[in-house]
Amino acid sequence: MKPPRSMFPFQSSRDDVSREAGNELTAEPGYLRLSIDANHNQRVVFQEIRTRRRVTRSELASITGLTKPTIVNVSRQLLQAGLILESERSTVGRGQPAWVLELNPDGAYSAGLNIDRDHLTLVALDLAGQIRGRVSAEISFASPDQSRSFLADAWKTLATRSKIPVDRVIGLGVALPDDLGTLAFPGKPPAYAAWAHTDTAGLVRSTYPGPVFVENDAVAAAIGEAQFGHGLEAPSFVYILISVLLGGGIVINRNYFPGEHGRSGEIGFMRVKQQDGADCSLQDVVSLAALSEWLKQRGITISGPDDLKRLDPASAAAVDRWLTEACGYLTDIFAQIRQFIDPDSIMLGGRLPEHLLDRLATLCRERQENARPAQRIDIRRAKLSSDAPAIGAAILPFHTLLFPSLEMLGRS
Amino acid sequence: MESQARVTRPLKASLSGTNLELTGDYNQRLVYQAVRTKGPVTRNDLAELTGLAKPTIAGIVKRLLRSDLISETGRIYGGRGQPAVHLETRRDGCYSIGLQVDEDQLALVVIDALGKPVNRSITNLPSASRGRMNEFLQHQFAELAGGIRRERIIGLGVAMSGGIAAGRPRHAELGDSSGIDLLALSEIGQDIPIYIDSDLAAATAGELLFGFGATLRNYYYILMDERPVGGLVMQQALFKGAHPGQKRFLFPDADLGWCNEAVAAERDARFNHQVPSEPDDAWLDAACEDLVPLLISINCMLDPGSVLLGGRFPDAWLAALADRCNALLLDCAEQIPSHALVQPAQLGPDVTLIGAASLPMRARLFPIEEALLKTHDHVG
Repeated sequence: MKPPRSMFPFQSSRDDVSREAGNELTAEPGYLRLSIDANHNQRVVFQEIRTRRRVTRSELASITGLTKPTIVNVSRQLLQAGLILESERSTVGRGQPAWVLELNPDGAYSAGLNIDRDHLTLVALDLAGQIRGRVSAEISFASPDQSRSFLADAWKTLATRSKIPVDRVIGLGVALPDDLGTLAFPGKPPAYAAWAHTDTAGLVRSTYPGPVFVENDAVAAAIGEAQFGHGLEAPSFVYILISVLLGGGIVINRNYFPGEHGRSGEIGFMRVKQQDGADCSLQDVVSLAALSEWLKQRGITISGPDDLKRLDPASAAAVDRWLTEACGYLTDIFAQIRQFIDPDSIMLGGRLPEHLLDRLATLCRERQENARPAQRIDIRRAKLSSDAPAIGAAILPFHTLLFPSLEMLGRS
Repeated sequence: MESQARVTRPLKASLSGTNLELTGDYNQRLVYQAVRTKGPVTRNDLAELTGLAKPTIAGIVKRLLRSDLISETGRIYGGRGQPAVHLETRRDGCYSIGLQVDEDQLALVVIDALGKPVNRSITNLPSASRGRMNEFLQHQFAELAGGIRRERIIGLGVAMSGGIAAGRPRHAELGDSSGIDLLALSEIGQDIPIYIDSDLAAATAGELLFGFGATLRNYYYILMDERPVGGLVMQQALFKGAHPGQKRFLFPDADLGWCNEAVAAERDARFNHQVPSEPDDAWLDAACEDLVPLLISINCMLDPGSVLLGGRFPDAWLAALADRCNALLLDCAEQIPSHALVQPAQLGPDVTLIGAASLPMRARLFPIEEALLKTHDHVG
């Protein structure tokens, strides 16, 4: 009986210990090699300092239940690694002034790349989760080669324009939809199939030699939302990413739930009945691609989500009719989700502009007013909506390298 | 997420005269469960199975032996050197009592450490006042648990088919399962911790301890009844959702013909001590028409490792239903990213009852995450 790994978060294997031997900064050329050890104590202490902002060693001891010598030891390691700062607190009482520890936002950076069928976006986050740089390009069906050169250019832009010390980036997260190369999609050029045979992590190595984390775009968005968005109020939620197609990510008790094969949250493939009674996938009717097609049939052409922000009144009315239709499909799906898993919230995000996401959330809520209480569910626009996949991707390295695994997604 | 002891006595108080209390000691739980599921095993096997150091194993085994939870069995000869001593769970090491409160009946069971029922009673709810019902419960309890030493009973688990929210208005009239007087329960089992949970939580606890559950990383469990319920089990705990006090039915329709038929078939067969008939095609068609779209959604949304069908349908009906669902899911495999195998749960139609009795065992003897979180400075 080998219990799942998560059962043993407090035990470090021998491998881990040897791998983490150098948890101090080793400034290799190109990137900052930084990972705090998996024996959990460093991660737990770091997490407390990060979320509580300013805290003394004694407070840490009582919060974490670790002994004082352990805290002293661990905080020294964190200070050496540059992840935290120490400052003297002026005391009111008697005795020696206490030293307070706080997060060093510039201690490390992380980058997130979002690759999708209609755009490429790169963001850089500091340790406090602030976006310190962003580069984006609206490119339809960017090939692997185009993506590689976009990253190389954008990386330089981060260094020069945003003044990100790129040698202090500890990891690069890449968020992209599943089956990018294989899934049939209107307008997809044949060359796009190259994605099916592309090693995404290898693709970015020429620009960034450090640790690379590849994740589904909706999952990255959900993780981002859990960490820096509404996730603090809603420990369990389904994130719905309305991008070119439709994706989803599930967070349960602040942990991303990957499913057995890492294919959870595939909400776009859920089946819905159309008005003519025919079956189709949800993403055939609710997605940017579906909206664009729907508008085209009505003589309105949009070239990207930005066009949806400046529509003439007639087109805006058409978009609103589409939202009402989309809401009808989503309401059925949300009722099912409510019945079989019952999350605290459903969060709508993605590249649909924020005012349209808000409108969609409002329509869905209105539709529920007639439903029985047992069928109602909280629906809202995600706090991180449009750049969520890129931001979520940038959080992945912090997660894997610095945050405690049991409470992967932080706490309120 | 856990069932909670609803007694005034603190959970940590140890049982009189024994050292059964493993709460808080995750490693002991780990070793005990390894012996239970893999036994007979040697101390070396245990070190390998659990990843714990040999001296730790030796200490824990000593404590488990002393508290009579496990015993040493024959040595196995043949190899070189001293033959190793094998350990196995003592069937009489501990007992647990389960009470299932349904709208139409009360069922009580006593299970031993291996999950085998040693005594049970099922009774239609007597049409009497609550006082009479409590009297009846006390009587049944005394009868069932009579031959067992009190200190070996680790708890009473109660599975409620309705919601279990506190403060829900109670009605004296029949048909409301919350009419069970919790105070009366604590009277019948003085010194016995009580764990109350939903029927679904009980069923998944039963499956975890005595069925497939522990072998699956995550699965979706559908508890069949007149109105089926279901939930995701991950890291060996049921995710109860945002409204744990509210009963969530998988199908909004209140009157499902195929469910009623299967429940009746199971009940009749049990009543007449017969093998239930095989399900006919019409029944399978009707069941799949409701079930398959739900399974597609569950697969898309959750990508579970498996879907287990359990509950009050005849075993053969669940098996046939699982087969039919698998065939139909295969037909639409191209439309969905992944689909999990549907299989009948290992525990039969009385899963909720056995599951109720499993609640105390899970809470007190199983290596659950909560046991880990209670300790401090647990550095490997």
